[in-house]
Amino acid sequence: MSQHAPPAVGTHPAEDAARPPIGSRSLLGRLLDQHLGVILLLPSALTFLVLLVFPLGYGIYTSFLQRHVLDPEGVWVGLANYAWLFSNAEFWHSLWLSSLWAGVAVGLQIILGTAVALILHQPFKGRSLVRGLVLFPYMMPVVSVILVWMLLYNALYGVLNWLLVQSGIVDAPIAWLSQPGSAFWAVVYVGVWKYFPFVVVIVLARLQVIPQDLYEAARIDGAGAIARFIDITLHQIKDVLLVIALLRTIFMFNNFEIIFLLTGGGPLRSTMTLPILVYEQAFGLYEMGRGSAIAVVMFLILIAVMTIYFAFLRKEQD
Amino acid sequence: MANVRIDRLHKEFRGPTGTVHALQELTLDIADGEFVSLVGPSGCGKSTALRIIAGLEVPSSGRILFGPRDITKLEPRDRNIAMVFQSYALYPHMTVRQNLEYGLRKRGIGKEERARKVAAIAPMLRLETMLERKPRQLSGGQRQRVALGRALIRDPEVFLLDEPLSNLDAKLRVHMRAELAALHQKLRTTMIYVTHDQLEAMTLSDRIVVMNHGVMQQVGTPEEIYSRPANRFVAEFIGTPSMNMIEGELRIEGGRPVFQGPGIAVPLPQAPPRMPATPQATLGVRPEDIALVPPDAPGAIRAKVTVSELAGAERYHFIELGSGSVILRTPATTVLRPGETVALGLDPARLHLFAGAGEDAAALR
Repeated sequence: MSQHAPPAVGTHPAEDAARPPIGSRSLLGRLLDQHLGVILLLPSALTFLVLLVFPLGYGIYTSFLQRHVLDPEGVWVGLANYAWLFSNAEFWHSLWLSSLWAGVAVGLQIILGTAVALILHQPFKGRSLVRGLVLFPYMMPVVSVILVWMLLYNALYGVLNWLLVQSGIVDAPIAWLSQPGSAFWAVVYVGVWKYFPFVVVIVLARLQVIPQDLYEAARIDGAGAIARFIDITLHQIKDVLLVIALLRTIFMFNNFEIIFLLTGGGPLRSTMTLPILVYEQAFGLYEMGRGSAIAVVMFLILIAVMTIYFAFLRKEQD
Repeated sequence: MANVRIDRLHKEFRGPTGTVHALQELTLDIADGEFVSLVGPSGCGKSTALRIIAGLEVPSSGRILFGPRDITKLEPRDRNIAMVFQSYALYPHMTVRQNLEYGLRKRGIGKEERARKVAAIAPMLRLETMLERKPRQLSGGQRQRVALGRALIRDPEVFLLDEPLSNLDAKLRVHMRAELAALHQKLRTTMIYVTHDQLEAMTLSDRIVVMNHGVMQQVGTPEEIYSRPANRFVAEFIGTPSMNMIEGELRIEGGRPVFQGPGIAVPLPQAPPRMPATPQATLGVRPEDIALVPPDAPGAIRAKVTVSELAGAERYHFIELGSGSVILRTPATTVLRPGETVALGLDPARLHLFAGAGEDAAALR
C-alpha cells in the first residue's frame, strides 16, 4: 500500500526541479511546501491515536495490574492475571463456547445467507419487496429483537411452545432459555437470524455481476444446474464469502448483547462466552485487571485469525 | 457435419412497454460446411437468431433442423454445437487446459482422451506454451484463441460465433480474421457468424445474411450483396464509405428513362422492367463508380469540391452535387482542392435505382 500513498509535496524530484529557487518564498510558504502532507495527515492521525491506540494501550496496561473498584490506582502484578486465566477452567470453557458460537453462527449465516441470495437472484413477482423484507432482522435494534425472541421462546406463553404443543410435536412446553442443553442453540439461532441478511446483501450484489456468458458457455459445454453452481457461481462468490467469513467471525466472536440480553451467560454458564466473562470479571466482580487480560487474549486470537486469513488470501492471489 | 435449416423462426419479447419482434419469420438454408454471416446494426435480430440456434433462447415459433434432426426443443448441450462469445466467456478460475477440457469432461470423456485432444488442438491455435496459465494472464488475442479452441475441441456439427473479434484491437482483428478464414478452410465445418462489421462479413463468408429490425433484408454471396443490393438499406449498410444516395424522381422523357434529382438529371440506360406506381425514387452510386471526366465529355456533371480526405492509399472527396453531396473515391494520387469545380461521369452500368426513398426501398432491376 505504501507506494500508492501520495508523496509529501516537495519530495518529488520533478517538483523540486520546477520549484523556484530557495529564498524567493516566505518561511511559512516553504514550511508548508515541505510538510504539507504531514500537516494534512495530522487530524486523522491524532483521532486514530486518541480513539484507538490509547484505549488499546490502556487496556493492555490494565491487564498487568490488580485493580479493584476500591483500589483504583492498582498494583502492578506482571503476568499474574494471565497465569490466573490460563489455569482457570472457566476461561477455557468460555473460549470453547466463544469459538463454537462464532464458528456455528457464522457458518449458518453464510449457508442461509447464500441460499437466500440465490433465491432472491431469480426473477419472480414481488422480488424487490422480498429483497427489502429480508433486511428486516438486520435493521431492527438488537434490544427489540431480543424482547421479541424472549416472547417467542417463553416457556409459559411463548408462541414457539404453543405451536409445538398444538401440533403435537412435544407434550410439554420447553424452557428454551433456561436449560443448559437448549439455551446455547436458542441463542445461536437468534444470532443467525439477526445477521444472515448481511450475507444476503453482499452475496446478492456479487451474484449480479457474474457475467451471464459464463453460464451460457457452460450450458453449451454440457454443464447441468448443479455443475454450473459449483463450477461458476461458487468460484465467483468464493472471494466475498471469505471476506464475509472474516468480518462475521470477528463480529460474532466479540458479540456481547445478544447472549447477554437473552441469557446473561447462563443457565449454569452454558452461554458464558468470553465477552460475557470479561463483563462478569470487570463489572460484576470489579476485577478490572482480570477482565482486561481476557480482553487482550481475545484481541490476540482475532489478530491470529486475521493473519491466517491474509496469508491465505495472498497465497490465493499468487 | 450437417446442413442447417432455419424455418420461419420468430421471436418476440413481451415487456412492460409492449411487444418487441426481435426476429420475424427468418427462413434460411445453410449448406454443410458453409460459412454464413448474419450482419446488421445493433438490435437487428442477428444475435437473437444465433442464440436461438444455440438453444440459449426459445423461439416464439418456427423450427431449426440440423440435417434431418429437429433440434428446436433440445437443450444446448444436446445440439452438438459450439459457440464463441464476444467476451470469450472463459472460466476465470480454470487454466487454459481446464477451459479447453471442460466440455469434454462434462460429457464424461476420460482423462487420456481429453489430454490427447488438447494436445491435438493446442498447436493449431499456438496454445502449447500457455496451457497451464489462467485466462487473466493471457492477452486478448490469446484468450480469443482459447475460446476458439474450447469450441473446436468438441468437434461440433455447427460452429456459432457471436462477434468474436469485436473485443480485439484493429490490427489483431485483421490477423484473427485471417486465422478464422484459414481455420474454416481447414475444418470445413458449418459456421454461423454474427457481426456488425460488414468488412468481416464480406471477407469471411460464403454467404451473407443482411438483417434489419428483425427482418432478413437479403441473402447472397458477398459479391451479390455488394454489387446487387436488394434494397436501399443493404446498399447503404454494405460498403465503406457508404453508397451515395440521391433522392428524386424517375421519369420517361422523350421515350427515355431519366432520373431527376435536385439540380441534376441522369439519363438511364434502360427503364426498369416494371415502372413503379409513384415516380419517387432514389439513385445510388458507389463512391468508386463516380469518375472524373474531361469537362466536355458527354453527360458530364459539373460540381464543386468541398472537402478532400486522405485515407492512406485512397482519397475521399466530398462533392456538392445539385443540392446534396456525394463522396467520390479515388487513388491518393488524385488531388482536388476545396472549391475546385470538377466534371463527374457516372458509370450507367453501375447505377442502382430504388423505388421510393425509405430504407426498405426495393431495387428496381
